[in-house]
Amino acid sequence: MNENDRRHLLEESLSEAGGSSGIHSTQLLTDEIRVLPAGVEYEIPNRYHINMLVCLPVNLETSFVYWEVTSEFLAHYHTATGQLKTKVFSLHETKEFELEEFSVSTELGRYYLHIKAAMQQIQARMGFYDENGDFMVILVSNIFCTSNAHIEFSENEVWMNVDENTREIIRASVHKESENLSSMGLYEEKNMEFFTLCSLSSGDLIKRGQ
Amino acid sequence: MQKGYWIPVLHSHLPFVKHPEYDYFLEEHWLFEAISECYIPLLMQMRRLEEEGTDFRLTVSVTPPLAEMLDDGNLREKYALHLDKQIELANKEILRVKDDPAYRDVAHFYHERYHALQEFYHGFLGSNVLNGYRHFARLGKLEIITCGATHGFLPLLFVSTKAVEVQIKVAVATHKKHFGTPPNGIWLPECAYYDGLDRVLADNGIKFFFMDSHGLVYAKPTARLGVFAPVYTPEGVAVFGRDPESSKKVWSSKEGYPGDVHYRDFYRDIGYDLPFDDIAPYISPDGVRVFTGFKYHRVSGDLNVKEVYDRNAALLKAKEHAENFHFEREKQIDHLASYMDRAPMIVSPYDAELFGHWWFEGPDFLYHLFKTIDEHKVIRAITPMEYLKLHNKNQVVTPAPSSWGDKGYFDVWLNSGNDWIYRHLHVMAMRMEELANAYTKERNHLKIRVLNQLLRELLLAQSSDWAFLMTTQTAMEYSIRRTKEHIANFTRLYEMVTTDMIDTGYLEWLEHKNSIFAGVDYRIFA
Repeated sequence: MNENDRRHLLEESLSEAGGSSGIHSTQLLTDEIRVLPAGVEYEIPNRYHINMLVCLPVNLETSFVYWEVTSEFLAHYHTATGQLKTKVFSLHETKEFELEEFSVSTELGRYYLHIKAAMQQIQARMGFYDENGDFMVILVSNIFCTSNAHIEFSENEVWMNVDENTREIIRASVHKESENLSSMGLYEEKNMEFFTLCSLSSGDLIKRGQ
Repeated sequence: MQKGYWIPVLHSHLPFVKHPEYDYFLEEHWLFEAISECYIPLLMQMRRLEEEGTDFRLTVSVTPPLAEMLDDGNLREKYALHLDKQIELANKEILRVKDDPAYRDVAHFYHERYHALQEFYHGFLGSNVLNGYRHFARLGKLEIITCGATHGFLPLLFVSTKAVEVQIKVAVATHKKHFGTPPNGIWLPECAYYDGLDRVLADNGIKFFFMDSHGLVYAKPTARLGVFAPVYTPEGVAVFGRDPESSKKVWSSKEGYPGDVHYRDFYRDIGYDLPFDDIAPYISPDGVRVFTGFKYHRVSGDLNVKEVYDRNAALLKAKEHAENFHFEREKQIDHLASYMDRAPMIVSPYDAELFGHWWFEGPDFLYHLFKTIDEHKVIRAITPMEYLKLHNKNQVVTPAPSSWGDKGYFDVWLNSGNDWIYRHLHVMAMRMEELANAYTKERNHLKIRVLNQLLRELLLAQSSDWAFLMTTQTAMEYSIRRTKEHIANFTRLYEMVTTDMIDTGYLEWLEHKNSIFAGVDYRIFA
């Protein structure tokens, strides 16, 4: 198969793509307008009184960040919402790049940001600048991988046979590698930080019976 | 001579909707409409193929919430009553239009149809639609695959790895419960993939899943055979990509077959057309007009001047379109084969509910398509597992995060209209994990029941349907209410566990109403 053949197959694969099914059956089955019978109005929590920063992918260029912090948490760091910033980074194995910074003026909030970073690990960190101008991180988010919209051939394609017998061996081998080397390993390590922080704070709630 | 492969996939899904507190609840009719117009007609066509000795292969996802509803005693009783009512309406319709020859034929068609549906449901299916899927799976004609436990949008739940794992684990367990074996494949909710999801799938024995085409073309590295051969993820899970060309022929309301003027019109329905007093017993008791399924017109002109439906002409057109689809696929395979060093594979996934519900003649189209395939034998209909047995050497790529939703990514499920959901879902997952770990050795039966119900409420809140419907603004009020209901239920149950003050009556009511996954064990979250 030559380069032209490969290009041609990809064009065929993508024609009319870009997503959408056009018609969605759930939408059709629900295509009736009505007023619901009066019933219980469900009250949901306004706040959870935890400290949490979360970063989610929306599309190729947009990400969504939301957070909740408590006054006690901020007091512990001798800071307040007006001084808080959130920075968004792309993480690489040996270095990281700051992509955006925005101000945080409320204890509970959300923010959409536009970043172009194909197939990269993204993390948000909340903090404040100390008197020396250093950014003091008080909260880190989860990590997610952005998507990609580029065709990228490799000279070193990997092909494999997978059958019932080899599946487990391959999987075990990939796991071992990823734990030590790959971005997946980095992802898991950083996510542990996120959950440790979150679970500590909400674990306190359980103890207090709130 | 066989030239290539075709993998047809039908994704069957509805959100879990059960309201035992009402005799009639409009949203339960989503299920009843889908059973009468889609699931039973599809199974009837499969039965017809079986009886005629025609070979066929179909991959069908039956999502866990759908399987649970189809198996639910309360909903099955209501569906049986619904069928009785439809037959009562069919009888009345024959009398109403007896003097109009054109309408009379259509009324007789509905009369026969509902009787046939009822007979098939209580006869061949034993009053449980799942029996039909089980039958064809046993014959090897049907590959039944699973989906997320409640169709949770996994790339937005993954901040709790456990939340994603439990969506998959509960799905696999529910599939085993209903179909007797673990699933080989999964239809990822909304085809939504994030980097690393393959590991969770592999850990749970999933061997293949599907993605939209851009997930493979923009993979790292690019899938060199596009969507015309599967690839493996680094975890060894096979990925099948959607073929855009064959998808368009059914999905597109403009260019696709369903827009043909011979086919039944979806929108004109006697639920809206008849005088209120005539139709009142067959619409919502609160007076809201709804679709009844009795539609007398075909796709033609504007809504008010449509021509009368001619069933025979529509069936002929379905056969013609099936032959056209076959011809087009053969041409497509011939074309692709000149660029490939193996026989091309075409994957055509659709929402199952489009066949019969939206495109009324869709099940007849599929019947004729399988007949044509069987007759010509140049294209082989095949399941993903059969294909992988024939071609188990495939390229390894890291798929690009994507979905099959509008714009191809996650915008539909995360935007300013529905983003408020996620902080609740994430905190609930976190709390669930803490409780599962804290109460691993719990022996108090009542507390165990509360913990299990907590998990049900979390899973129901995670359903991607609510966020989707908020964006499309259809059934928006219901979607918001359902989301808030499960968050509120979870919060109250959480307080009951942490304060040791259990309201037994409240718990019993939730167990009855939100009864999905009866045997679920909260420790799965530990």
